[in-house]
Amino acid sequence: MAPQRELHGLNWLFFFAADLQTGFGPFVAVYLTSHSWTQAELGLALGVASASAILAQVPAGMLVDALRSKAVAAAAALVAVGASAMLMAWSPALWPVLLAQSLQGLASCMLNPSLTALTLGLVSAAAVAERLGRNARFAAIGSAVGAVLMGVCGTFVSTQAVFWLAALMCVPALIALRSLAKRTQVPAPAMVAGPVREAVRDVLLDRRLLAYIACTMLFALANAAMLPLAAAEITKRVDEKASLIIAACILVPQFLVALLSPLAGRAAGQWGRRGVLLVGFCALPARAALLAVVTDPMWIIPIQALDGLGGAVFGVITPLVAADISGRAGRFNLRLGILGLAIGVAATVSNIVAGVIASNLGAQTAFIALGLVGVSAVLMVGLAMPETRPRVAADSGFGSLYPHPSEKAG
Amino acid sequence: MQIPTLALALSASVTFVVAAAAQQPSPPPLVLPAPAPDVPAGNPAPAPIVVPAEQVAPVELIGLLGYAVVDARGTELGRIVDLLADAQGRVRAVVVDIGGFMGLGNRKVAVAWSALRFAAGDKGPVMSIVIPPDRLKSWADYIAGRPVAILGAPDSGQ
Repeated sequence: MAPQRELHGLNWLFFFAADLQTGFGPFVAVYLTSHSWTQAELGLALGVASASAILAQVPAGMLVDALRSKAVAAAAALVAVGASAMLMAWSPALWPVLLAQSLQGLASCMLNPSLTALTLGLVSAAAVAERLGRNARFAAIGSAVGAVLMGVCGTFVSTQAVFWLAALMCVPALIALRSLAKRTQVPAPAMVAGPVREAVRDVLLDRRLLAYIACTMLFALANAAMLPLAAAEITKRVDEKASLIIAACILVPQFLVALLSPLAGRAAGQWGRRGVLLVGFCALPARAALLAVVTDPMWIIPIQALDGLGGAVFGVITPLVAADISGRAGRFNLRLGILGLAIGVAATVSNIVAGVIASNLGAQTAFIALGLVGVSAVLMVGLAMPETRPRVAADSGFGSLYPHPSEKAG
Repeated sequence: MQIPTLALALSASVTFVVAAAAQQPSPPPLVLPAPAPDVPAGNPAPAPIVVPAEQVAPVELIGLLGYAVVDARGTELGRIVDLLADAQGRVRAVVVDIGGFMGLGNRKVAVAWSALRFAAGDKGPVMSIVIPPDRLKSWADYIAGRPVAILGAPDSGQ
């Protein structure tokens, strides 16, 4: 286990990196609308942002894999996200915003994989599952704090100030990253530093990865449109407190992710990935069914708590499965990139299709459709997803990775 | 309820004089110098074209796109994201983006131009919608390309 101080560094790194990225996303539309953007221009900017965040996934993953120092990759990505936030704040005109949005899309594709790869190089293989849980915890706290800070900033200062604030978060993130750079060697890190030795073809033909891609796509297809759809329903039904209820619908799941992620990581380490994945995925159809039935907006908040359960499991298991399959010198970031691409495409389709269903057949039908996709996601995990937790790895040459509970001495 | 379908979206940023000229006299129109005649010497020069123009203080005018609208009590309802005009040149409705938190849950509704009230404010005109906010929040979405339901129009039951 790495010294405590370094792990604190990782906590802060994930906290500030998530904080930094909260300023983007849906808030961009609010900001540009307040700067006299037409609907056509706004659609173009948001389209460029999501396209770059999806298309850059695989190239960014390969780039991070090729770089010897994941810390340099992470630092470059942090600076790029900070710079695009500053560009957004400085000049809300078409071309600077398009540049900032595509830069941010590319950088965020590099940031999260490189931070996770950095983690794998810092902790022993046995501690990976729980450490990924802690990463997810601090990322969730970071985005919750970021959402509150930026919501307050946008309401009481200006929509522009939100982006200056986001850019400012880059500084503590870089300081936290620097504290990790002077790292002491872990005897058997989950991933060795340096370039990878694995053919791309082997990555793509791996049945375990293909099965998990199918699971994540179904998850994202069912999950992505649920909160926006619920939020739209809340604004239709509630008059004055709509913003507060929507804020709670964003924050409550984040606090649950913060609470549950380390537990999910520990459980995945002890009992395997599949069981944890099944529990987390079951939250998805349950949430969709409840959203389809419940009409009182106040009850949407506790239902959204289920989003926290699903989010915690998904956020921990995704990098864990990629790490399991990649081994010590595999193409970990390429795998995360492929998964990111799959999630991005599925999430986009989810929002479009659910939007069409909701406007033609009503929100209730859309929730039922999302719920059915959620059921198929659970079935996919149950039927197609193999357990990826490494067995006692005699053949890997560096001792047992994750000892089975029955073989654990005390 | 009859839904006007003639509305067409103006995509450019349109500026209107909203602090009506009746409140204070507007500066006298400036006579623009006529464009230099582009005719060979010898021919009689065409009469100079007089284009009326005026100068208005920035607090008297606003760009409507992105401008905040408030309810009768002065609470911000949302921002104007588009204007809908018909073939007769009348602005029939404004599209207002309402509700939500940090971009989630926002909806667009079309509100009749005649349902807006204007008053002078410190930082420019204050635009308020006289329709009760609960009617506004429960009104049908504005979706480009679909028949537009304008709230507050004479034929919408208001």
